[in-house]
Parts: sequence; structure tokens; C-alpha cells
Amino acid sequence: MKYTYYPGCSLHSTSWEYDASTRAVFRRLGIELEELDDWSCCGATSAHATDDFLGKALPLRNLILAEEKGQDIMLPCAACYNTLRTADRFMRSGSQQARELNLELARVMGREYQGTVETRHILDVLQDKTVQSLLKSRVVRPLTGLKVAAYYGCLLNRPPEIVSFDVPEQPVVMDRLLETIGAEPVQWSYKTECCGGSSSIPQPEVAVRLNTRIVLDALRSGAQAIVTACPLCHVNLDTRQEGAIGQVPELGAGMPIFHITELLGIALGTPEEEVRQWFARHLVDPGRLFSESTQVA
Amino acid sequence: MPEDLLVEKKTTGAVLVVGGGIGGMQAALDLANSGYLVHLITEEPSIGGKMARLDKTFPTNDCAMCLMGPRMTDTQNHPNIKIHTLTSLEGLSGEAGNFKVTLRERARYVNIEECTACGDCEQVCPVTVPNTYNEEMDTRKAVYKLFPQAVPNKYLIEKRGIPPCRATCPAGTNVQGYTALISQGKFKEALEVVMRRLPYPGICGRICHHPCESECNRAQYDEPIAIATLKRAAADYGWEGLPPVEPVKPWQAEKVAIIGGGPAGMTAAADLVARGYRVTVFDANDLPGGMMLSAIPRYRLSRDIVARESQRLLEMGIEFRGQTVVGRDITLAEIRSQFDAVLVAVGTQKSRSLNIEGISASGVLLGLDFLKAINAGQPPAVGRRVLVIGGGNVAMDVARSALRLGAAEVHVASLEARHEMPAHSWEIEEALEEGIVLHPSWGPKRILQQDGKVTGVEMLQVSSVFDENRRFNPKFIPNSEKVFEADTVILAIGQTSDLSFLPADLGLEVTRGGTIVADPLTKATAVPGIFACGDVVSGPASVVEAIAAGHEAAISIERYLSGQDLAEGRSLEKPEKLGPPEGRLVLASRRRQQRAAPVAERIKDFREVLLGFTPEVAQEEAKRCLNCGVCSECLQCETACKKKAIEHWQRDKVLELDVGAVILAPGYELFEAELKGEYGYGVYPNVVTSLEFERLLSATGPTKGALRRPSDGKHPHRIAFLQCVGSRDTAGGAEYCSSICCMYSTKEAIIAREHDREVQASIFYLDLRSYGKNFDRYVDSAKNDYGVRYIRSFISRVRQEPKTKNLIITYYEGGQLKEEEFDLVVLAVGVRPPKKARELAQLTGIRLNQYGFAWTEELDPVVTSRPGIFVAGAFAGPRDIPETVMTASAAAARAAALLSDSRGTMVSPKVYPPERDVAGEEPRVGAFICRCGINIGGVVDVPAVVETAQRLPGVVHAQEFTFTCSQDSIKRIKELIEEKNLNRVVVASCTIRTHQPLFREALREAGLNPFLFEMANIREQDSWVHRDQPDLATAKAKDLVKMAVAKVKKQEPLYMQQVPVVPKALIIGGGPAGLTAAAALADQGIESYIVEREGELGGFLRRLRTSPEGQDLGSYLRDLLRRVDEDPRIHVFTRAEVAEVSGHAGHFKTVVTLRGRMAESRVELEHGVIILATGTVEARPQEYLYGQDPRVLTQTELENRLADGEHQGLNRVAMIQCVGSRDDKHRYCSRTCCTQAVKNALAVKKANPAAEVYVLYRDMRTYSFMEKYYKEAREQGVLFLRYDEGEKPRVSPGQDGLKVEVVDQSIGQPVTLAVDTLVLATAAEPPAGVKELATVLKVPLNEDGFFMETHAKLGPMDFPSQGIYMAGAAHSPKFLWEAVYQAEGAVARAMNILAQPSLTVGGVVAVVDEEKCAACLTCVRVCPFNVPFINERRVAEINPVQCHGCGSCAAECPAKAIQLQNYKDAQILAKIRGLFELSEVGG
Repeated sequence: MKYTYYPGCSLHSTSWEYDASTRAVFRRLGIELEELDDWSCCGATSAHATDDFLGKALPLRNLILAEEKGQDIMLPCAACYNTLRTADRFMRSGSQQARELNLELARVMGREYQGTVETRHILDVLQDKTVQSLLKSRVVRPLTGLKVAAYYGCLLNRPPEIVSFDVPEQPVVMDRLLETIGAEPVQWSYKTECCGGSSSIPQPEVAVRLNTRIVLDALRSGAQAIVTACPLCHVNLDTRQEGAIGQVPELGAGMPIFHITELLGIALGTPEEEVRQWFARHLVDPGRLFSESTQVA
Repeated sequence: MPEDLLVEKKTTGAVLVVGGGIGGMQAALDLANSGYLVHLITEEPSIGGKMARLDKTFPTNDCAMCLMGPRMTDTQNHPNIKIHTLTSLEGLSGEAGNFKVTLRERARYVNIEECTACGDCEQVCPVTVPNTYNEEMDTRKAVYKLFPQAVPNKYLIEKRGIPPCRATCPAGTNVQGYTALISQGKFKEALEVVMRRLPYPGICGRICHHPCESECNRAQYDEPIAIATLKRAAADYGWEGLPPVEPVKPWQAEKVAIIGGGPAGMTAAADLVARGYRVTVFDANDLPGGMMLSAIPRYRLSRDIVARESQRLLEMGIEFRGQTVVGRDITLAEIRSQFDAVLVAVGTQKSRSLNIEGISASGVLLGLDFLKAINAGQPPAVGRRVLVIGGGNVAMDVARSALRLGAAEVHVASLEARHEMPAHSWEIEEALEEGIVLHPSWGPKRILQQDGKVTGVEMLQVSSVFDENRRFNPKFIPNSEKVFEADTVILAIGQTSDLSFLPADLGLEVTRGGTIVADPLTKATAVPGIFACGDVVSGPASVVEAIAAGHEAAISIERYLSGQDLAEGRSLEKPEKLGPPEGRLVLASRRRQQRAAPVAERIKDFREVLLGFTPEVAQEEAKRCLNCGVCSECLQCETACKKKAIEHWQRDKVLELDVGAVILAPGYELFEAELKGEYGYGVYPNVVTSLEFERLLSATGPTKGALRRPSDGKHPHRIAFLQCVGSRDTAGGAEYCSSICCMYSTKEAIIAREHDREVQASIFYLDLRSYGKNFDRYVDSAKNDYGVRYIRSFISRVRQEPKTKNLIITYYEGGQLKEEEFDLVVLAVGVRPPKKARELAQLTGIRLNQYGFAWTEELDPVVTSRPGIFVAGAFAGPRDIPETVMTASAAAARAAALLSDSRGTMVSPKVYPPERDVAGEEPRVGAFICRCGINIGGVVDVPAVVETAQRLPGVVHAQEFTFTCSQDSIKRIKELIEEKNLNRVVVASCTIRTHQPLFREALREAGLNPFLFEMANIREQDSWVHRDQPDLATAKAKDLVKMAVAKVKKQEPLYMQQVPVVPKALIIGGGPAGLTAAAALADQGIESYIVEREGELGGFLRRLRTSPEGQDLGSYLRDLLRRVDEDPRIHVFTRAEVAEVSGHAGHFKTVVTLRGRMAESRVELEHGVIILATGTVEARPQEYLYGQDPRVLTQTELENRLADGEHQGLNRVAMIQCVGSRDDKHRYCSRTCCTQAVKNALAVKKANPAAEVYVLYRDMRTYSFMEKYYKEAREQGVLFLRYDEGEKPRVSPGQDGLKVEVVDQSIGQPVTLAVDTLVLATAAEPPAGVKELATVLKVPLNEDGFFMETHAKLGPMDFPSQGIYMAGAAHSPKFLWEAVYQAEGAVARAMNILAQPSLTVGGVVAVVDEEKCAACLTCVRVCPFNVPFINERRVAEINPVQCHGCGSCAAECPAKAIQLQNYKDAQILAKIRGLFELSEVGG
């Protein structure tokens, strides 16, 4: 099994640990990830809002590159995933504009997009039956007793006709993954609540308010941590808890926020050394959860 | 006879009704009562449909089940209705009038004739599954009754198939069966289930390799059930309770010899003994058991277990000749001469050896010999360091035995790699636990020795064991030699059979591997009469496989001996694997581990290593079973059922029937609430669907009617109802309106409040669609009397408070966003086509509409696209109960019209013997006391009751029956009536409701008047309620019997009278409903008189021009008038009015006045029924400048202008809805105006797309599929502005057209419109003269002046007075097609009377003694049916045709002038006196 791996900019910068843990997980599963050569920006944050051509051409360029590889493309970032899926769907519509765009790109890249490559989010790959049974058989440190709120945010599930590989209003893929590694997903109402990611810079107070609601509901639902599958959600939830810390005693020093691959990586037996490097990148230290309960780190 | 007469096409006078809900029942009853045979099929085990699952029905808030109970009983008891439950339509051919239908009746597994619904089977059934009747909120058993009042009141068993555990077991052991029994702690019963297929339960419980566990569906969720260990538990804890073996006396002449007393041979022997054969087993050992006894190490299987299980088999009568080696002590030839068949089951008892250097060195042993020696009590000496060669189970046994014999080190070398080793993984693991050292992938090259004594083995490393064809073909790595030192080497590399006793010339085929060739299916060898099975055929295998082979061999031997084909009907194929039950929520739970002796201790001796489960742990583990097959076929019910009604062998039945017409009434499905994930249904426990809520309110629901919420069982107080879940929703739901939800939520809110005064209900809605008769009043009462809050806000999400599990809803009200917490959220889920709609359409060839419901022509609402097939109820679209009843009757009318030439041809009246005159005879009473199995007999001392009954004066015979209602008991009662010349009968058993008709029928068949019968209910009223006080219950039973006997002695024969029917109808009103009714009657061959007040026929339809779908109503009316005009059976009186009515159902006399040009004249008409079709008129508005300004029109006026193509002045149009409706003047909704407005708005837009159209409304009530026009209007740019009743729009003439001012509620702002035309939606009101007509007919009107039906739900076309019906807008405002189906429905109701030559009246009716009557009018006032009247003799008269026998008048009559037959004062008093009979003797 092999996937073309498109990390996107976050995983090469702010969310380095998401990239590292993704690679660790797939290494331990024995699934090869081949990073896409010469990948470029997907255009997620600004291109689609400012320039329609760029908004489609940027993801399309990456799709064309990936198509040459022949295997499915896997993305850990929900924004990249959403953008590439949207572009892919646009191209598959076969509309006049799509054909024109394809010709335009072909002039630059010498190759048209055929629509033969499947763009898949990391969660979609992980819910594959074969990957599931691999995962099940390779868990060496079940995270027994760890209560986690699975947080999906917006881009993974919306719009459902473009991106959804899960139940759009009540997604469960991460909850199932948590069960597979022995952790306990909690039932809560904010799985798909907006984290305010896009307001983070222009209106940080909005982001803080939205984040606080999410974190506090997870806490009240009995979660010890939140797990995400999107670098933007992760950054937001991890860095914007200041509103609640200090005001809610149960929250203590904050709610640890994990990338799903970090928890999988731990369960699959990634050495402590490596895990510590991931955790060092978090603002709210997740390490204490393990020193108390499962002695992983 | 001429040829053409012979082939004249006649229709078949029978109808198939598909669906057993209220619609199906109504259609069936109407047809059956008018002379047709009805086959009513339902896929459910009971009739009742959705209504049977409702708690209450509005507006009367009656219990739904209480309403429908009598209807269900009528349906079941009707001689012309054949109910087929669990039945589906599979095929249909032919054409209208003559169809052939194929039905499949699923097996019920309970004999429907014999079952008495005593419930004994349910008590013992060990399988518990979710109860779908209660929306899976509680559980039921695999044998069950759909609901307590099910009709037929019979049990059934649910089966899904053979579960994978059982299918996988080579011996076919019923795993689910014994697991289910263990889950209830019934170990003995479980063991009996095991032993039906497995004579060695304790052995297999210990050493079976349990392939069943690998197949267990539970593994998909967590881990498989520990099946083998459970089996051991059954043997461990159930053995002592087994009854002693009863030796079988052989009854067959033939004798069978079995060579080999291992599991294969002994199983076959036991089977053959049970089949009556004489069986002799020859075995070399002194005891049976084969390898189980001689080779399997004791630490895995103790000798005691083998001995006791073998002993039980021997006790059956197997002759065992031990210490007999065939070929040595007796030859095969001798055996063949003495026996008729021989089974060779000698197993594989020889160890294989190796042909390598040093093999004969001392200290080299063979594995099997080694094990046998140990079990024989002569353990060979082992050295310090033992090397075992081999990787199978025997190698493990040898290694672990060597350890127990004192070896310091035990090594096992196998050719195979670790994962290829043939030994079971758990054997290897236990060995490793004990310290055995494995050396995988090593093969022996030579054995090293010193002084003839082994010192070690030179081994070669193995590169592969199997070649590419998976054949054994080991490859060694050259030069990889290594010496394994050892002082004892034991070879465990396989076994082979010793076949030396077989003469070479016998003709048996033997393989190169040394096994006998036998047919894998039949176990027959090449030599007739010689069979072979077990390891000697298969090579070394497991005990359970040997047992399986033994069973098969026994079948073949029996067939051989009785000359049958050996292979017929047998197969090696396994059925497809049955998956786990669908949609089941499985909570994760770990597999229990059995106890094991500690390693340090157990390796010292041969004590048992695995210790099984404790009974408690076994029960817990068994409870993890998913019951994949639902019924486990444990057969406990078979034992429990005293009536022997359980029939597990039943198969589905296919029936072919001839019918003339088909009525489809399969009902509907509810929207799946999970699909609207935003509401969290299925995720948040306190979000429930409306049907679940009904069940939570219901007394037969999961909470027994206590309103408790699912998460914590607390009483919810703040309850939110969310409307339009899956309706009026194009995103994942349906575009149409489900029509029923606004009202059912209102009802549920009211009922919840009636349950608990603290309940605060809030209904979140889009438009409140209370458009039906009395609906708005009901909503008003919800608001005013029950404090129900109605909030117009669409809810987009429900959140859950994690701690309390309360639910938080955000909504918009009064211009503000609000957040509110609720204890419970109820989702008003919408109506969907029935699941089988597509299949049904395909089978019957009918069309479906765009939403998947049955397609019908807009104005012909019960007729499908295929002639002869009609549709009733919600299959044609969302319908409430009265609409379902109306369409069902309408479908019945249409079917009857089609088949009118064959009316009465398929039903035959029953012939009875002449009735005996008992007048003047002394009472001779027969009293029959029922035990009802243990239902009565288990509590009441029935013989004592019989004894008391015998001593009662007048009783000439008393006896008990186990089941009095069974066929044989009934037969006996009839015989006794004759033998003992009985003239009165008493049965003491259960309720008269279900059983009295049966016993009365028996009396009639025996030539007695059926009213000479009395029943005492000693079950429901005695044994069931006094279970804990048997003595008192017995005393009460005696009292009840004494009373019944005393009363029956006073009973008199009652005779029914025949009153001839005048087969004509009077129809009052010549609008569309009246005309349709006349035409429908004519289609059934019935004459009718139409009495129309106006000079012209057509009613309000004359003023309507187009239907919502765009049909030309003018031509529709012209066609209808032509049809009426041309039919000689329809007589029309215009300018006519009803002046007087007398008579009764079946024969009315009506005086009609005719207003001629010159003078008035009168005619008297005689007819059997009356149909009221008086319609409505458009109210004339007083407001909004109507009549003052020519630019103000009514919707009907606009419709006419548009139809005539007059589009001027329609560039800016405002429409005001509810002008005169839903206000103080008319408190009801006029139902049709919203759709009419939308229709006209669309017409304006169509003519001029640039036109501005504004609709000022309060609630848009475009219910059902009409929602699509509302949606289209919005898409076309029609603007809808909502106004509030308190702030009505204001209209004034302005400079630029008319000025319309309105406060738009959705924005909360005033809006001013300037329009050129203003259109008013005016109210529909009853025409003048209705009150007078009601007085003449003595029928009631409601507060709004519409005729009031007998029952809003079940009698929407009937009046309390029999023979009078209503149709169309006389009932309430309605659309044309609704008037059409109600008119057709009224005809079906009328045909109940008109189809009879005469009405049978009398029986239990009130009779007036004219001498005593003072004409005080008490009876006239008290009668709920308005029957008594003061006649020309100035005394009360009660017409037996109309009397319902309720007894109200008899009870109230101050002069005691009225007596209710069969319940006369003298009879009741005698009954009371009877209570004290025999009391002096203490009886």
C-alpha cells in the first residue's frame, strides 16, 4: 500500500508535529507515503477569496502532479483536503470553464488533469477496512481509560456533497479510531462547531469566545483531551484557551489538544523520545496525561 | 347452451386487501358486509397497523387501542373476511375483475388454531431481543405476541436463520440454543440442547477446537463468545440434573456392528440404537472412548468425564465388546455374517515413525505410544532433557506430559515455522507458559547415539515446508546442521490407521496415506454394507468432526437397512453465513477467561489445567451472545406448551387465490430521524421521535405509561416538539408536507400534560397546519387549557448539556435569538411511502408518483393507474385516520362497483340444524370449567370448582377442560348437549369479548338457541389478578360459576327478526359529492333520488374553474352531469327540499316538497339509506371594501376571471387570506383557500411574469403534496407576508390603486403596498337550511354548523342513527377530490345495508313494556344513539333496528318499563342471588 503524500504548508511549519506523527503512524502501519515532489500552496487561506483563477489553478497544479504518481493522494490538512476536493469536483464537472482551465494548466505543465486520482483525507484513509485491521493488530500501547473528545470542525464535513466521507452532522470516524486504540471517545455536541479559525487574525476575540465554548463543553462532557484532524483547528484550540484557563478551576493548566496521529502514534508504540518532540510543540502540555495514567511519555 | 353464453365474462366476487391497518380493515369490512369475500393480508403478525401503536387519538383523546379493538374483533370474526397474517403479495396476473394473486405466508412456527395465547412459551423462552413494537425501547422474547391485544391473539416465533456458530459446528450443535439457556442459568436444559447433537458435552467443552468461535459474529464488535467453555459449564453444572437414561428396546430386526468405540463409532451406535437397531461395538480397549480415553492427557481431559459420558451412551442399550481386536479375536468375515451392516471407525491409532539413522536407539519413543502408556498407568521413564519432534497437537501433548513426568527441559522442534505449526494456538501458548522451548523450522537429519542410547538429534534448518501448491514438501537449508542434545527423543509426527484386519480381497479402497476411501457425504465404502467414518477416513481430526461423521454414518446405515437412497436430500454445502442482527446497538464487553491451575503447581502432575467458568461467570459470558438467529431453537417452548402448538418445522406457504379486485392499503413509514443529524437523534438519548413518544405515553409502552425520559428515567417537564423533521425540506427530507404532524404533536403535548401537570410543552413550527375539522379548536384548547406554547421558529440544531443530558435549543422569537433548555425533545418525523412501495408497484404494475407514493388521478383519488387495483389510506399520500377511513371505504365502493355482477357469489351462508324448543323444560345446565393450561389451573383448584358446580341445582353435568376453546373441547360440548339433553350451558374460562361468539356458535350448531349461554370469567377477573392467593381465587371462581349458573337458568331464547331493505338511496344535495354518490350507487346497481334545493345541479363546483393541477373543472362537471342524466337509476328532483322523514335504516319514508313554477307539490319516497351532501357556500365578506370597490374580489371571482382570460388590472395583486376564517365568526379553517390563493397567484404570474403578487397570510396551509405549489409560487417570485390575527391588514383606496397596509411579522415592520386588485380568501360556510334539515333527520350538527359524525376518527361518514351518511363539505370544508372520495366512501357505508335483502335485528336490544311507560322522555334523552321516540300511541318506542343494546335506557327508566334482553332485571337478580347459593354448605 502506498499513498502520495501532500503535507501542505502547515505541516511543514506550525504543525510540524502533525507531519512527524503522520509519518510515524504510517511507518508503523507499513504503509508507504511518498511526498509529492515540488508540491505548492493549495491556495486555501487566501487565493479562493481573492482570485478565482488562482483559487482553482493552485490546487489543480498539485492534482496534476499527483495524478502522475498513479496512487491516491492523502492529505492530513482539512483545508488542503477541502480545496483539492473542490477543485477536483470542479474539473470533473466537465464544464466549459473547467476545460479552459485545464488547457491553460496544460500549457504550463505539459499535462492535462484526467480526473483519475482520488483525493483523500488522512481520516478517510485510516477508516479503510484494511488499514483498520492493520491498526488493530499493531496497537501495542492501548490508551485505556483516556477520555477524548473528537473534534472535526467545519472543513472536513462541509459541504457534504464535496468532502464528506463521514456522517456530516454527527461524524464518527475519529471516535471509532479512538476506540480502536483503546481510548474512550466522549459524547458531546460541539464536534462540528466552528473554531473561529478564519477570525483568528482579524477578530481574535471571536476566536477566543468560540474556542472557549468548545473546550468547556469537552471538559463538561468528561474529556481529558480533544483530538483534531486539522492543523488549523489544532492551532486554534491549543493557543486560544487563555479565556478559560484560570477562570474554570477544573480546566487547570488547559485542555491538551492532540493531532489524531499523535494518539495513534503513541498507541502504535512510537518511542518516548520521538513523542516528546511532538509534545514540545504544544502550548498546553499533553505529557502529564500520560505520566498519570498510561505512562507513555 | 350456446357457446357465447358459456364464455360470458363474469367477475370474481372476492377482493384482496393488502394491509391490516385501519384502512385495510375498513375496506375489508365494507366489502365483506356488502357480499364479497375478502382476503386481508398483512406482513405483520397482527392486524392493527400504525394506529395500534398510538397512545391516544385527538380530538377526543380516546385510547387508540380501545377505539380499534372492536374494529379488529369485527374484522377477525367476520365470516367473509379471511385474515392472512405474516403474508405478502408475491405475484399478480390477470385483469380487472379476474386477477390471480400469489401470496407468501411466512411460517409462524405456532399453530394458529391451537394457540390460546396463554404465554407459557414466552415465560420459558431464553432469547430476549429489542421490541420493535415499542420502537426498541424495551425488549421481548423470540416467541412473542406483537402487542397484548393482538388480533389474532396468537403467539409467533421470530427466526432469522441458522446462526454461524451452529452452522459451523461440524456436528451442528445448537450453540445459540444452549448459550441462551445458560444466560438464564438453565444449565440442565442447556446440556440437553448440547446433547441433541453431541453425546460428549463435557469432553467437547474441554478439548474441542471450537471452529464456532472463529465464526462468532460477536467478534465484529469485540471478541467471540467463549462457546466451548460455556458448553463445559453446561456439562459441569447440568449433568447432575439429567434424567436417568431410559434404555431403548430395539424394534428393528437388523443388527449393526461397529468396529471402534471412539467418538465416531459411539455416536453412530447411539443414533442407531435410538432408531431401534441392535448395535454391537467392538473395541480393543476395555472401555469405550477411543483416543479420548487412551491418549488425550489427563490434564486436558479427566478420565471421569470420559467414563461418565461413555457410560450414559452404553446405558441406552449399546452392546460393547471390549478387549476385542478385530482380526485377532474375531474376523471381519465372522462379523459380516452375523450383522447386517458394518461401520469401520477404528481411528488412527499408530504413530508414524521416521526412516533415519539412529531411529532404533534406546530413548527414542513414539508419541502416541508414549501418551497411551501414561494413560494406561505405565508412564515411560523420561530423561532430563527431552526433545519432541513435531509441531502438532500431539507434539504439544507429548511435550507437556514429558514435563509432568519430571523432565527438566523439554524442547519441541518442528519443521513448520511458528505460524505454520498445525497445533492450535492455545495449545502452543499453554505449552510455552509451562516452559516448553520451541524450535520452529528444524527437521531431523539423524539421531545421535552413544552406546545405543540417544544423545541428541542432528537437525537441519528448514527453508520451507510447503510447496507452491500448499503440499507438504519440506526444503532444507544445506549445511545448516545443528545438534540438539537430548536424552529422550519423542517423535510426534503423525498417526496412521492399523488396517491389518481388513482382508486384502474385500474390495475396500485404501489410500496411500493409509486411510479408507468412503463417500464424504454418505460414508459408504466401495463394499455395500460396509461404512467407514472418523479418523480412519479423514486422517487425524478432531472429536467434533468424528461425532459429525458418526451422525452421518448412522443416517446412511439406517437408509441402507431400510432400502432407501443414501444421498437423497443430503448435501455437504453450508448455507451462507448469517450476519449479526441489523441495527443493533452492541455495547462492548470483554470475553470472560476461564480459570486455570497455576503453572508452578500444575506441571507437577496430571491435574486438570483449565477449570471452566463458575456458574455466575458462565451466565455473564452467555449474555454476550447476539442471538443472531433470534429464535435459538432450544425447543423450551415446545416442552412448555401444553397444547402442543409450537411447530418449529413449519415452512413458508405459497397460496394462489382468485380475486376480482385488489385494494392496496399498506400504510406508510416514518422519516428516519437519524438522517437529520443536527437534531442528534440516536446520539442524544433524550431526543426521541414522535412515535417513540407515543409509546412512552402508552400504558402498553416500555414505561407502562409513566412519562419518563430515556437518559435517567426522570419525568420530563420541559418538552420541546420540533416540527417538519424530514418534511417540507428539500435537503435530505421531502418536499411535501406530511399533513399529520402539527396535529399529532398538539395531541402529544396535551396528553403529556394530562400525564403530568408539571409538563410545559413548546411546539416549534413553521406554519401551523390545523386545517381539518375541529383542528383549530383543538389547537386553541392546547394553548388555553393546557398551556402549550407555539413558537414559530425553525430549529436548525439541538445541543446536549453534557452533565444533565438536557437539550439546548436556539430559536428566534420576537426579533431576538433565544436559547432555552429542555428535558426532552420530540421530533415530529414526517410521512414516507411504505418501504415496500416500489416492490408493490412493480408487482401490481401500478405507477408511483414523484414522491414514491401510489399515483392517482387528481380527481379520482382511490383509483391507481391499473384498472381493478385501488388504493386506500396513506399509500396515496400523507393522510390522517378519518381520511384513511374515507378512502378505504371509497376503494371498497370502487371495487364493489367493478364486481357488482358477482356480489354474493363467493360467500355462502352457514346452514344450522333446526333449533330445539326448550320452552317448558326444566333447566338442564352443563357447566364447563377451563384450566387454560396452567393459566387458570395453576392458580385455581379447578376440580374443586367442578365439584361445586356439580352440586348446583339444575346442573346435570360439570367437567373441566384443559382448553375449553380448542376444537376437540367444542366438539365434546356439542356431543354432551345431545347426550345429556342439556338446554343451558355455562363456560367458566376467559373473557366474553373474544370467546363468547365461539361458544354461542357451538350451541347453535348443537341445535340450541345461542342465548341460552352464560360465561364466567375466571381468568382475567380471577386467576390472573389473584395469582398469589390461590385459595381465595378458587373461592371466587366458585362464586362466579354459581352466579353464571343462576343466571343462565333464567335466560330465554332470543330470536332475530328480518326487516326487508328497500334498495334505494336518498341523496340530499346535488353538488359534486351528491352526484358522485349517485353515480357510485348506480355503478353498484342501486337506484337513488337526488334532492337539490336549487334549480340546477352542480353546487359550488359550478363556480370553480380549475384544479390546482390545472384540470378544467367545467368539463369535469359537465361529464358528471351527463353521467347522472343518462343513468336511468338516478332520479333528480331540483327546487326540492326534504320536509319529513320517518322509518329506519333499511326502510325510510321521506316527503319531499317541490317548488314548481306555479305551485308546491309533494312526493313521498321510500328508500333504505340517506346520504347527506349539502356542501358549503362562500361567505360574503363584510370587510376590506368588498362590495364597495370593484377592485376587491374573492378568490373564486379571481379564479373565474383568470379562467376567462381577463388579465387586465392584475399587474399588482394583493391577496388576503383567512377573511372570515379562523376568527370570531368562523372559528375553523376553510382548508382550501391557501391552495386556491397559490394556484391563482401562479396563474397571475404565468400570464404576466412581471406582475407583483403579494399573499398576506397567517399560516400557509398547503398541506400534503400541495406544498409543491407553494414552493413554486415562491420560486416564481410571489411574495408571502405574514400578518397577525391581532393586526389585520388595513385597506383603503389610495391614489395609486388600493393601499394595503400590513405589519409583516417576519420582519416586525409595517409594509405598505399599492395594488390594482385585492383578492380575499373568504370562508366556506354551511348553506342556509342545514339546521332545519338536521332537526328533520334528528342528526347532530357541530358548533360550526357542519354535520357531526359518530366518531371523528373511525366513523367520519356515519351518524349515530344507522342508515344515514354524510359526504363532502357537509362534513367540513374540503377540496373536490376529498369530496369525491368521501362520497364514494359514504356509498360503501350505505351498501352495508343496501346489499342485504333484509336486516337482521333483535337479540340484545331494549324492549319497552307499553303498559308501564309514562312517556316521561327519560329514555329519549339518555340514549346516546337517539333511538327512542314517543310514538303515535304516546309511549316510548325503541326500534330494534337502531338499538345498540347498551342498556342506558333500561337502567334509567323510572317506571322500569324498559328491559334489556338477556340482561333483564330478573336475570341480573337471579345472578346476584346465585352468589349465595350453597353458601350454607360452605361450597
